[in-house]
Amino acid sequence: MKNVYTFIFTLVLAVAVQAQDLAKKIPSNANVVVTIKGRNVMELLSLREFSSSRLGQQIAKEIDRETKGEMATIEDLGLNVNENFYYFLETKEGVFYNTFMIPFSDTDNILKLFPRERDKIVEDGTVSYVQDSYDGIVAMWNKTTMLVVIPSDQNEDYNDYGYFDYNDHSVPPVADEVAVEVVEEAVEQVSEDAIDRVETIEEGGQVAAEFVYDETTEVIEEVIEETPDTTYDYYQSDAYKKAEAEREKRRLEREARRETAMKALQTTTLAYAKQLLNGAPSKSILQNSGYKKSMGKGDDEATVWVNDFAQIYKSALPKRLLGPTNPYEFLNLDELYGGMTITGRLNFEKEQAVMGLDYTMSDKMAKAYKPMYEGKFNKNFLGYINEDRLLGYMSVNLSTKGILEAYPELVETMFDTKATNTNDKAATIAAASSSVTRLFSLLIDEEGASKILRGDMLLLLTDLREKEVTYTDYEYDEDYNYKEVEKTKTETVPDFLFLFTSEEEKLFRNFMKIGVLENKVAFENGMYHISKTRSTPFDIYAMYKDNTIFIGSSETHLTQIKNGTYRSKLSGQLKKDISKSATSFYINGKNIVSKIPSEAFPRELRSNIDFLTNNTEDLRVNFSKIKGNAMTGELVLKTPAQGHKNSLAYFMNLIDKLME
Amino acid sequence: MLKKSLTYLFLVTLLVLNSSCFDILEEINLKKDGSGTMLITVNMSKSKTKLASIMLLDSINGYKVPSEDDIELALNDVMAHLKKSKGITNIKQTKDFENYIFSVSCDFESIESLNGITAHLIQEQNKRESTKFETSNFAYNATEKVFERKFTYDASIKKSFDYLKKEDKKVFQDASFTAIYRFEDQIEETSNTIAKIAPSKKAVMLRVDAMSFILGEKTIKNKVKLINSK
Repeated sequence: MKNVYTFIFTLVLAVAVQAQDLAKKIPSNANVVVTIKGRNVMELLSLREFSSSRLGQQIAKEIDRETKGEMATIEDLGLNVNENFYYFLETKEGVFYNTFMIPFSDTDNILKLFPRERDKIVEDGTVSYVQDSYDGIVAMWNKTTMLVVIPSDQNEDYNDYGYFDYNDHSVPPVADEVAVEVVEEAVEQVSEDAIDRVETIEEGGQVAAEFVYDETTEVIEEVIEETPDTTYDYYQSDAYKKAEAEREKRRLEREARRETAMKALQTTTLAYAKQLLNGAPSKSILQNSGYKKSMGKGDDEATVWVNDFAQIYKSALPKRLLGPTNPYEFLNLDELYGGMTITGRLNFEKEQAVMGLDYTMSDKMAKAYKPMYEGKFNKNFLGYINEDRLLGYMSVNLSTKGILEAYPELVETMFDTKATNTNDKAATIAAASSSVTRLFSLLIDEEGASKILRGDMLLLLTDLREKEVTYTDYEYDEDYNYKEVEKTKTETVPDFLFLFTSEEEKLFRNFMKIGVLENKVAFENGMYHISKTRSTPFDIYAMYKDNTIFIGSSETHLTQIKNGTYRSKLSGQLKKDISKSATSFYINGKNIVSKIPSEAFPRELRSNIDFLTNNTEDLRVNFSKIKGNAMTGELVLKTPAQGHKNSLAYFMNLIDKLME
Repeated sequence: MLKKSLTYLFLVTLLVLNSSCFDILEEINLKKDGSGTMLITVNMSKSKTKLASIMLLDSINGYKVPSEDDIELALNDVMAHLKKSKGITNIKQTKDFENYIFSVSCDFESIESLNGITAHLIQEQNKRESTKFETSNFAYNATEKVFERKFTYDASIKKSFDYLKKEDKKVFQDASFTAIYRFEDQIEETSNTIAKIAPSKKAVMLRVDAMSFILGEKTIKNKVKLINSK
């Protein structure tokens, strides 16, 4: 018996050692890594459960169609769903390699995914691959792993369609001198216009080329038609034939350049894929401390890690854009984005789905941004919220003083390229921006401005209420002559309340006084009333109380606040979110769905309103203040406790219901 | 900035919550000799809250929202077109931007003059979209005493509707078209079974909801036989 246990233990160990994570194949200098943790996902929703969902069935149908009936289920693919799936981006000498790494238990069935004749499968030792001859994309696999590498060459100095070939200003030698001038002018004008447009359409090379050609030709044709000498035919002339031959020559040269470049890209991409699949980099991403830190406790279902934005920006800029006209020459990308990383984590818990975001910046940027987020929170705000009726809110807790002090420095940093750049214009812009920001700092009284608007504000969507509105209809007599009659109908309107801290009561009252004197504002029952107009189709009430300016659409709500009779109710969670976050956002899904009249739903959702009411919960989004040189964000979507075994299953059930 | 943000939030909520619909009213008073008056009214007052909100936005569902100036310009174009049409006189327009009711009226010398207003536009449409709409909308036979509202349903109507986004389709859910034709003689019978003859027998009203019209379930086509009183 002991031997049996030893055998099982050895077997498990062997399997564990074999099943090494594909992360070891990701180079440590990858710019972006996305991980989907198969095991964690499967613990929440098994492959069988997914396959039996409507979405799963849809995918299976697609697999069946694609493989012409060779495979009928997701399971047939042979994926090893308990392992991690990866996507990563690596930039090498101006080429973006987008790589997907997919673990398989068995890759025998992969061949069935390429039923088309043009998908030529090459077997090369232990690996097999298919490569697209146009863009170099490679799908390569061995017994347990499949890679898909999508290259994108940022160095392309050839252009696919060569619109410059048609930018030929040669003038056809027509007999009439006037006509020549007209043609010259017209061609020049059209070409210039078209080139302007062409330059803005980087990607649409072919369309642009045709456009230039067609429009130029059209004008030439028109003008020639007006020419008295009708015997001349430019398209039969030697000049045209010569120009045409030159164009053809340029086209062939361009084709050859493209061909060579694509072949080189295909070769490097194939080598890249082989190297990845057959070996491992000398230093993998698992040795990158930033990445390791981003993995946290490892209990997330999916993570996204983006490293060093400055490098990505630089690599993403095509070389042909670099040079004296490159707008990025004027920006100090290193300073702005250097050391910036972002980590996103998706976690499906029992009763909520959580998306976390960590944003790390350089010490210098953190120092610049920090004062902006150091806002003081007005605790009185919490007394004006009633969660029972609340539909949603957005709170901002910034420091106006901090923003006004930091802004000039940030602008100066953004344009401060003098250390890295020899471009005169960039130096001029840097000097000019520095002067302007300095002037701004000297002229603005940051302390004074913060008395008007301290920086903490709260916008509440407090209620939905029914309101009677009139409309014009007709009544007919016995001759069907009609007269216009006013009828009424009920509409649902939202109520909102916006409040912000301000010490400037006098300024507020003076503004309102001007409105009163101009008959735009009425002072009623201790508050200001701005009647609805064509430009603001709702009544607005405003007042000042306890260092706070209130602006809202409900007179009742403001009256209660004024009299101190407003009943507030707020959970500890929302109190914490509003008061501790730099920015906080909340939607009470249940309240909203239950209060929206059924007619307002799209027809196809009306039969599912009960399902939506019972299955829509709260959404909370919070962004923290800056701590150290990091800022964190969190999106939490509550899911119903009843009827779904966890939040991932909830999403699947929701999709199923909506697909009905 | 603040007002703009608040207004925007409010508007978006209003747009989601409130329905939009419109009514088109086509009226013709026809004399025995075939001349008469015509009045077209577009009444969007049931959607005025929504329209007032839409008018404050730059664009909605990917379409540019016309300003009051744009609408004025379009109405002026209609007026200019009518002025150029043969046999059309006494052209008037009304516009009410508070209630979103717009109308254009005119006198016509004969049914041919009335048809002349839109004939060219329909020809253009048929040519452009390969549709088969009749180029004349009305006919009147003074001898037989028969007035006709012509219309041939073309599948392109439903096709164009299907092409719209879901949100845009909602606009037509509660819209309707009403035609009222008044005569000096009494009506003997009408071909369209939905049409209602007035108690005085001198007018007929036909109301078709937009969805039935778009789907081809109901038609605005109607033949009105008048009693020959001489």
